[in-house]
Amino acid sequence: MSRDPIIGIDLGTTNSCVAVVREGVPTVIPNRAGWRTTPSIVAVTEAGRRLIGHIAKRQAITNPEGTVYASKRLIGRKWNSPAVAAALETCTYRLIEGPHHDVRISLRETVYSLPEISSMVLSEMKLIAEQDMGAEVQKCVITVPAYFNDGQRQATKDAGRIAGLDVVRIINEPTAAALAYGYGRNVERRVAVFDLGGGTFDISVLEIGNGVFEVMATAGDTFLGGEDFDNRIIEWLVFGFLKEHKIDLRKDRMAMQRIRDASEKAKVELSNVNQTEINLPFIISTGKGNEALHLQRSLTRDHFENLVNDLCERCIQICDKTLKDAGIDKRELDDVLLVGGQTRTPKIQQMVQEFFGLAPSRSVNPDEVVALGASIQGASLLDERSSVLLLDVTPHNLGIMIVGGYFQTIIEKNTTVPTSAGHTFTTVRDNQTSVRIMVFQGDSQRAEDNELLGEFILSGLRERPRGEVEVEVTFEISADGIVSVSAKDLETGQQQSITVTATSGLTEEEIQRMAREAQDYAVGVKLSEEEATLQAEVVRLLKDIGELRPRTEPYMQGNETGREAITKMEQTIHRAEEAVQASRAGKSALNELKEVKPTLERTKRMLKGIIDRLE
Amino acid sequence: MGEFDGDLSADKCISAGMYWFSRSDLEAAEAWWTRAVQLEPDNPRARHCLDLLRRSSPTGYRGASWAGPGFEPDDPFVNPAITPAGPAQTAPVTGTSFGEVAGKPRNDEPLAGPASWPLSNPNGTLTTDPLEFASESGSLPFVSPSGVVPDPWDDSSAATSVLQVSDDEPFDAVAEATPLPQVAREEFFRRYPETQDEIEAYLEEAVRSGDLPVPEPAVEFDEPVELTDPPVVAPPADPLQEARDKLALHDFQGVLDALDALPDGHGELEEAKSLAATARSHLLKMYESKLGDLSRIPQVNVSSEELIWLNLNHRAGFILSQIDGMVSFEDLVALSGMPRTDTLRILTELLQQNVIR
Repeated sequence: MSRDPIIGIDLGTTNSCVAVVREGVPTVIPNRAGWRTTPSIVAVTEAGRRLIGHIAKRQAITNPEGTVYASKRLIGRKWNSPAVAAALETCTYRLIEGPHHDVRISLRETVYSLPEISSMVLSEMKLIAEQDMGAEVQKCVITVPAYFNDGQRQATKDAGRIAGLDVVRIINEPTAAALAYGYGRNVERRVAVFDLGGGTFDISVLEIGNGVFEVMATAGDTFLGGEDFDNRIIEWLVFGFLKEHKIDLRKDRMAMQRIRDASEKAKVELSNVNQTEINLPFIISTGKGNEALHLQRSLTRDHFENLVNDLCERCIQICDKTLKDAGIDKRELDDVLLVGGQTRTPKIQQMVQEFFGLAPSRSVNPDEVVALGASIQGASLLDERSSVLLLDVTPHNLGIMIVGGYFQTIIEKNTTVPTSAGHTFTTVRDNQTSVRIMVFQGDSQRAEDNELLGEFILSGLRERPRGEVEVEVTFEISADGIVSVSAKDLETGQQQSITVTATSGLTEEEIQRMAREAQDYAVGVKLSEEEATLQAEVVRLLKDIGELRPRTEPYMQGNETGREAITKMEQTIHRAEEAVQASRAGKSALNELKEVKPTLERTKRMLKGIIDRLE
Repeated sequence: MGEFDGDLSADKCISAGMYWFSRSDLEAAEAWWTRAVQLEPDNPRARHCLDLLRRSSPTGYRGASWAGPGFEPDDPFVNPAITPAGPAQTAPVTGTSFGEVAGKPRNDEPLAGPASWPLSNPNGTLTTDPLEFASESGSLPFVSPSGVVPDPWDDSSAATSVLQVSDDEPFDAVAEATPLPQVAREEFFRRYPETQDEIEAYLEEAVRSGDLPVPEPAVEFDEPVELTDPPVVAPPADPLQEARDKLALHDFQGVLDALDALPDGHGELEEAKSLAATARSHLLKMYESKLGDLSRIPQVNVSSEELIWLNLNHRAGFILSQIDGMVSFEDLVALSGMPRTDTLRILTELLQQNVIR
């Protein structure tokens, strides 16, 4: 493949994953620490250091106001949306209203847009891919939940642009999972994708056949995921400790950080073993001098399953409702795909099997399947011979506001795109010469509860009694997901139309500025890493010279040349020490370190040469 | 002395007790405060002073017990078995025989009381006042240091007792260890000032001679304090000056500790901020030089079984739990959620204790 590779990125609510197709094989790229997934968490420390991924997750509780997690729930949302209202009550970081009624996050006095936050995670995924592939990566396919609206999809695209990525395609997560599942096989199946991730639960039904992947139905709960399972263990530990020691660990951030990490670890272990030990020494101070208490408990799988039984049942209830709403009989399903790390829990697998009457497929890795599917899509876009065709559906109803503030659906949700549909309306007042067409997206009967996509006015209508003038409103959705709405006076042919362009809430100028800033930051990080490496090398050289010097100095003092060499050496050492000190103090000393390093190396060689001669 | 003098003021007795207490003469202080309790059994200040005295001794000082009118049998001032004072209890005293020790009592046994109580004076009269007893017998019914059995569970038992009386020496042998004012010391013990006039005369003489420059208690006990509270260390008179001094002595942690004692809002003073910044800067340099390259990845040096036997606080425990062989010192600073100085100090301590490498 001569063209630049296209990586696939699963930009998850809690974890992200990057994959690429190598010699025909979709492969997950591990990060620098060897993890195959990276937490979608961004933090800024008190010292201003930006943290992404595992290290950000590990300080999330001790630095709650400086850590952004689950930002995917907010991306592309309007400030006055219910999701933002819910987040305002639960988020530990500060949300503020943006200039375009969008949502912004204030971190340590700096305000970031949601796409900027997501771009930091995407930059990290890009960096992971570049380090692994040894070349710059520019193109990617990013996955989003099937229910994401146009604004959310556009915001995800903008995040990619800010991260310096060309987002060649946005695809639905269940579609990606099914792609990975069907890759290399000639399957014709109807499958359910049961996606229980860290923070969200989605259930989708897809029809796969002859290289065509069609999403038939999708639904879920954006506030149900693996973290809820962790929280049950956390509560069990905290209240057990409270009962035993009369100390509430929730009041101590450090203790809670350790408990959260340990709970997640215990949960993961219980997928493979029947019992696990939770051992957290020195968890909390007793307040008596240096004395600290330990937390030690055993958790069995049975007990864990009791703790989370209602969460598992909630997943199944959502599945049941989704299938009923879509008119799909579960007996028509050929397979159930498990997606998301939480589906490794044996109880979930058991309940899924009982509900669907099918053993869930385990041929795909639930943590990686979405990224693998995205990478397959990326590879197929490069390959003109590829016959993979993705058919997406509209995740929400599309329609207009009618008299009384009600919402009239024109295109039902779960309609496969591209599609078009129309509906005829009449005037509501005598001699009405114009109508305002307000285009909404959503599932509520009240228009105001749905999302306004755009509006226009059709004027020049004939003056007639109410109900006599008929106006036909037509919706069209292209394969790229672009919505066009037109209104036409059926008698005169007078017509007006609007093309709804998705917006993330950022202007083009803002996106370009953010992209430049992200680039500057990346350059800064690279330079500081280079400086840190140089600083360590200079410190090592100074140490070596310090050890060699006493053995050579008596000899060097014996002649004029030697004394001159000592003087020069001292000057070099002094210069190097100053550069190291400046660097440690946070002042940029990259150039100084670069200059002094070869001189130190020469000095070291000289001293070693003298010792060799002496010996 | 059979009858108590009604003219003697409990407050005066308390003041006099304070004076002796401030001079570390606990027996004299106890005598005065005991007298105050005799005069006013319900005087909370007198009772508090007396109880404080019993708790203040490193060995759980118990001079002589006193029982007087108005006390219930289970009053902690009277019954050593139920007093909340320190664990080392005095031995019962029999007559003038000092140094006989009952040893550490078992919890299920009440302490043995004096063989005869009230004390029997040489002249055959009975008294409940140990000081009176001493004044008449020539000695006080204190136990010798060797008689005070240290409690093996009480760390404080290792501290030096104020009482330095040997088995055979008379009470005066404590003169060197617990110096009393020159004035009327012997007279004081020879003849206990009882009346208001006598006490005032005594105090006037003491002031005149310079032995009692301020006949006021060194510590005010107007409000009873919770005896189980840890001792409150009085803040330095001028924390800023102390911080300056500590900086001059290169005690950088001391500088920060001194500045912590500044009243609210004073920490914002320019000089305080400057001193704190200087101290932190020096501390950081010290810690960084001890830790070396902060991009280095530390490793835990002890097994999880050994770990719980270490003497660590929860903050050190947190830092230790984050060391997983993948994060660097610099990462630990970032994820600790603590100030950089604190994190590096804990890491330095863990390194010095060989807990990490």
